[in-house]
Amino acid sequence: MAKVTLKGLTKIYGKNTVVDHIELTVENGTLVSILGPSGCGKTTTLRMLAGFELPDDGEVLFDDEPVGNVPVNKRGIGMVFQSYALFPHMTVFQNVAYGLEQRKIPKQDIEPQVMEALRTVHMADFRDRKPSQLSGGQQQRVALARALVIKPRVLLLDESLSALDKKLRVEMQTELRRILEETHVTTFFVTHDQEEAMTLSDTIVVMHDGKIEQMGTPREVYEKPKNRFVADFLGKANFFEGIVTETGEGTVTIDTGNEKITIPADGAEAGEKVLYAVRPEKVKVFEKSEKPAGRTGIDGSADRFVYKGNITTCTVDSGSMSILSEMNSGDERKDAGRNAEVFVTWEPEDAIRLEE
Amino acid sequence: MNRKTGFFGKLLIVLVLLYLYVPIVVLMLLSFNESRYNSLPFKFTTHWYQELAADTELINSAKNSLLLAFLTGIVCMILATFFILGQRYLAKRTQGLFNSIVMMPMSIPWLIIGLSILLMIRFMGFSKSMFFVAMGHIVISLPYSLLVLRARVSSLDKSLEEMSASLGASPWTTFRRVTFPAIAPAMLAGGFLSFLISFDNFPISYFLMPNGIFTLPIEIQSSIKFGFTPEINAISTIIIGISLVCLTVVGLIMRSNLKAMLGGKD
Ligand SMILES: Nc1ncnc2c1ncn2[C@@H]1O[C@H](COP(=O)(O)OP(=O)(O)OP(=O)(O)O)[C@@H](O)[C@H]1O
Ligand SMILES: [Mg+2]
Repeated sequence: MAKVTLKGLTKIYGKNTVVDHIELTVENGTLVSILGPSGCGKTTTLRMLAGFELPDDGEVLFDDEPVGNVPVNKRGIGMVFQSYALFPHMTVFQNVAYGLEQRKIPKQDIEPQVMEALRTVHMADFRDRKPSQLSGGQQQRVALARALVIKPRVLLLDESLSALDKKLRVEMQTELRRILEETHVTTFFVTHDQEEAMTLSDTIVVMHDGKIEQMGTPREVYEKPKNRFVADFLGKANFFEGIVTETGEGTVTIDTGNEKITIPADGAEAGEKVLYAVRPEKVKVFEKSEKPAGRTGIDGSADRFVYKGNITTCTVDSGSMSILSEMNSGDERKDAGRNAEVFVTWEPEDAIRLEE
Repeated sequence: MNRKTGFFGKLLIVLVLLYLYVPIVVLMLLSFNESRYNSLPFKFTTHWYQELAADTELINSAKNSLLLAFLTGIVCMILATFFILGQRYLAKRTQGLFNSIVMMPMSIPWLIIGLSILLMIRFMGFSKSMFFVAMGHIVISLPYSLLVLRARVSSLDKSLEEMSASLGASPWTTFRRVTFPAIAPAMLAGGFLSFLISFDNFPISYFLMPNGIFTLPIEIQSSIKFGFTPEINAISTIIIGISLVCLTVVGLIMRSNLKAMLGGKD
């Protein structure tokens, strides 16, 4: 319910700048996922948003108003900590009711709201339990209900679905999405699960070493990653790096330092230093005998095909590099044996030119 | 563990327990013994308790001690709570410095603390009074409250208080509804420890007590000079009894509170 702006937000612990001049504007009612490796500053960013930490530089604005002087309890945030932080001496019901009590809501209105929130997270039957009598996933859902029930302006979720099994998690994601659409609460969502980030978010922010590497819609960051870090962190990628020696019709020849390879790619000129990324699901594997005539690609020998449920992966060794391919398991495909001679290729537009 | 070491282990435990408790049990028994000179054979009587009831000096000194210890316990409990909760907002290094300063009285002999306070009072031109005795007792007892409370607070999850704030609670509400329930048993235990330290204290009281007013330890010390009467055994027995009751009560409170904290089956 608020537009949130981070202006040059910075946090320094000792000699480490753990959040480094972050610039970010999040429109009212959108869900932003923050992704990044462990220790990159995600939690610290959320803590500054909440007001638990003071920024060493920069500021946080809600609806264009700086909130630097607004104490935590007046910011109108809802938060779910990585560690849940349920009050151990209160029951599930009391935990969820706590925030409503602070808002001076009449007693008779508290109960229905709490029960509604508990039903949303499927925890209504546990209302009289103490947190220590709940499983990790159940505790997490109570923590979520507690943050949602107060209808915050800004919702901060730190890996808030991580302890749930796949099915329950998807269910909670759907609920979350529904609640967000109803209430238009601006949400920051820290997660390690890319799939979750992709399905839930309007915007994805990829962080690395306290800086934002890239932000955009899920499609943008996945299909047009800016650099090696983003391409590598979000999904998998095959990288090709070197100096362009020659370009052709949808092909580029690269001197990688030890050899020259020609790959399907676009948008480079001779003499340039380039880095391309190719997503494994774009890589097609052919048996040598079925090699399509006239197509550029790389010859190699296939390692075992690994069945992984919906996809089957295969690593192809070209002698100097290995290329990962992911195919739909359902596709009609002859399972070439181990060390079979194969040929891999992809469409030129599937080779993504990266910055570095 | 083989049987032999098992046997010696048990023997050792028994010996240690005897060493710890035999003198106390003997004292308690002798308070019910008829002989004025604590000599045998044992003949049961409650005579010394009747004698004690009539001994206003001993009773008054016991009252003084209880009052002093009670005051010390309460003040230490409150001060320790403020100190420990407040120091968390200091920088790490300041915290360390601060801690060593408030803990210091623990490593200075009480004799010296008592003497130095006495000198200070003289120097500033005040006369001895109960006020300074209480101050002295608080100085030496506070570290014990701090120790107990710090152990609890350092294991206290700070995110609980943060969560309370994020849910809209004022700092005072957060203290009342989240912090206090978590540290109350430790506050009580710490206060109780300070109470005992004060109750037991001889040197500080000896230096600072105004003339003519006694605490129990001083009274006992001076009456021993005139001969050890079983009356003292009797009052000691009563004190031990009261201590045991207090300990049990504190223990029960802590247990039930712990249970409530952990949400055990209630
Ligand atoms: N109070 C603190 N004092 C000193 N350093 C800290 C403090 N809090 C966090 N850090 C450091 O700041 C960096 C960022 O921490 P942060 O908790 O924001 O990481 P994160 O991205 O949330 O990681 P994770 O995914 O593991 O939760 C880490 O290197 C951490 O060690
Ligand atoms: Mg974190």
